[in-house]
Amino acid sequence: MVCRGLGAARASAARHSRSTSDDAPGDEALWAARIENALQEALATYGATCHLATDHDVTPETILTDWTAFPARIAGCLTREHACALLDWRSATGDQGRNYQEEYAEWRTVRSTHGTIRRFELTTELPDYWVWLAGRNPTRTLELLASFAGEENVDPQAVYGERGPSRESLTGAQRESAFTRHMLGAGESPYNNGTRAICCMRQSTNTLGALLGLVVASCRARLARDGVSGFVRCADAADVIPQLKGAAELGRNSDPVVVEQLTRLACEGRLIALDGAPGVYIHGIQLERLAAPDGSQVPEEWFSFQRTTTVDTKPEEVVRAQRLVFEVPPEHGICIGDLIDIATGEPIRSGGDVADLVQLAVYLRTSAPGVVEDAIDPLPRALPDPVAARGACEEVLAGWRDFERGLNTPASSAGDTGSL
Amino acid sequence: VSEDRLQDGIYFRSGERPPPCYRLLLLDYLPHTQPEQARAALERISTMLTGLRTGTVRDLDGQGEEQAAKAAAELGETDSMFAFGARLFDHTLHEPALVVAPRPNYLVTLREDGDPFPAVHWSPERDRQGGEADVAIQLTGPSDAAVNRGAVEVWKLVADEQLSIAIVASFAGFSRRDGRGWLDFHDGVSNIESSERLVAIQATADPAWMVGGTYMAFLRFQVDLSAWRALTRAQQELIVGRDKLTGEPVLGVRRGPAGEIVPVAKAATPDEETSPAGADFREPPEVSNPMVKASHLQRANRNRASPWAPAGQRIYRQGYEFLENLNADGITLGLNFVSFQADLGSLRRVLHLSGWLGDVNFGGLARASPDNPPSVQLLSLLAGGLYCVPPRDTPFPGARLFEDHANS
Repeated sequence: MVCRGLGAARASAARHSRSTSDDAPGDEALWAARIENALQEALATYGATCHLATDHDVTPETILTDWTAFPARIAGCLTREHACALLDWRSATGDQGRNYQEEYAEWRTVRSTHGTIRRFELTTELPDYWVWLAGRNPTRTLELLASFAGEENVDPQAVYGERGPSRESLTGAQRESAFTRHMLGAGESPYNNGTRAICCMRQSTNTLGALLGLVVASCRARLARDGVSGFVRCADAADVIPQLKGAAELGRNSDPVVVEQLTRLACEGRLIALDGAPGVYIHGIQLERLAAPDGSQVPEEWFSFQRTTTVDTKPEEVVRAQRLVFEVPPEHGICIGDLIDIATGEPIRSGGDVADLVQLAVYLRTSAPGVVEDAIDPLPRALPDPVAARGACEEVLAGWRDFERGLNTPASSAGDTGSL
Repeated sequence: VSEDRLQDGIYFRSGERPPPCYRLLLLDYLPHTQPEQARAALERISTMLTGLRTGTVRDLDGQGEEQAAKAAAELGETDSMFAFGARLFDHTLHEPALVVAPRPNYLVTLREDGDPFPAVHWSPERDRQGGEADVAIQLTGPSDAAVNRGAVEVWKLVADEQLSIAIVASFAGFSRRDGRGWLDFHDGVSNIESSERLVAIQATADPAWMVGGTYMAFLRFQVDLSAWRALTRAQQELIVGRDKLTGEPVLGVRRGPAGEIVPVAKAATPDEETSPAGADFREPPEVSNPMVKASHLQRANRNRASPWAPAGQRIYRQGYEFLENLNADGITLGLNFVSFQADLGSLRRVLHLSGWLGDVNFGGLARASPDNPPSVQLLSLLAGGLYCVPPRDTPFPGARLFEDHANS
């Protein structure tokens, strides 16, 4: 069989549409072309694979892989209590904790003057899409940011810098560059550093390239001989991730489960494609874990699922959301920080506590099994140390030390856990 | 691989099989117990149980070597495991506080004023003690006589020495050698590969005193066997996700002659013939049919992931059936669901997440449809509790908890 290197992402992207479109006519194809470029980059980096479906392949089965938004590796390195503090770290330049929100979801919290969480916002929107949107459609970009921040208007300079987007001489590429500089990475715009709003992810591995790289690198059959039973079986995350040239990280919630799912599907001889535009979607909330102070259950209506996508081919399916806003309506006289997580027995104190309730998913389409036949040898296997395989910790521990230093410096706002 | 420090009583190593008999003792400290008394009580119990394994029975002090050897033969393979419940860490229940260590994450008492889990209610026959306690001692052994003698020897010791602790509940169970449970289906087939169990079981240093230990869930589920037996075999197979006779996973469905749904299971052939490249796939292959995907088998391990993937939410199950009542009033039976996991959050997520076991009681589609197997409330909870199981230590596992108090 000839190995193919094109995924179905472009075609899939066109079959999905946002409930409120960001796009002018024809824009969808341009965004799809950008996805295709990212896919080609991933293929160049990780190599072609026989298991990626093309537009012409039949992939009738839809499956999903899910995980929760709480960054497992950070807690594994620090303890849950310290991880929660680090993940909500806000300095004078914005939410530093975002650097550790690595599960393809990032959040901000809005707190009362007493430090209690009033509002929680989470996004899984890719920075690549927002950069593209900012270059292509600055008006829509500013409209969205204003709605996220609850403001009537947004000063364009706060988003694009001094080279405001309205200057006709500016090209789309220049607008993209200005947006990237101010809104992503270490950019200090309050509309994506958490102080006024959060619009898209900015952690360095929460990107379209990282997601496609994870898929392309994982989408191949790999076998391993079990070190104890001697059985040859589909390789697992501990076998595979060290082979992926940095495309995935052990210890996370997201990467290992996606790697294992794709590896297993490839082991079954299936063709695989992402279902819909590449992205991670909010699949649900563990609502029953939350209780109000009087013991009553929290209603679903307190959670608002936004930035939704409908799937043209599956009208019966629940819409896929990429933004979640959680707030207790003011008439109840309580706020998020008054709610109890019955699983931990503790009140909600941090964004991480809420992220632990949020179920994320990536949607896949596959062919029937046995469509692709690979000739593969089992990977040599040495049983990894269970502790080491929970993920690398050096940079997390360094981050914690920086955070602690901020806590111990009264004059500095570093180390603040996000109060306003 | 680091050598593990898990207590005896967790049979996860290659070639190990849980012994067939189970007895769980739950104990609470008496009011106004001092920390040093709390520690001394457990030390005495631990020493006594260790002695039992060598045939040392307190009431038979001085018996001959032959009799001691017989006692050792009966009791020598009985493992005892010490665990601590959320109650121990609740300072409002203990004056003075018995331990100062922080309560581990997710170690909580089960909800009493509502359902313990989203899709599992409390049984109307709920046990008075509820399954929560300061201390749990799990006894597992080759015979009822062995585990019950251990339990009664604890009772005698507590009484004789007026220890500051009292037995508040006790639960028994047994395992079947045919690998099946009350539902008559195979159980534990997709439990974790032995080489990977330690990853799923062993706790990290959060809190530090738990490193190398594990967490235990004890959930005594009542099974509504009458409701289960009212279902057809096809309906049962769709809900479980396996063929009833062969244990092979259901992969899809077809229509029968009368238009009924018929589950289609994987053919029962040797692994070598069914797996590409000679691979041995212990987990069921991916399925996409919503009815099959909604089965218990698929829901309990939705991502089919290994313990190396935290989002796989893998837990190691070591359950024991029970038969509580069988009389003119009916029958009460079920499963002592006992699981060990590195993090109780995994169990919580399995039982709370939509698409896992958060939206159905046991298996099947969450939303009704004409083709659905009838929704059945198969499980309800008679008793249950979550426990931390500290690593091996001297003079007993978890002794450090009480020492920290003395040093504070």
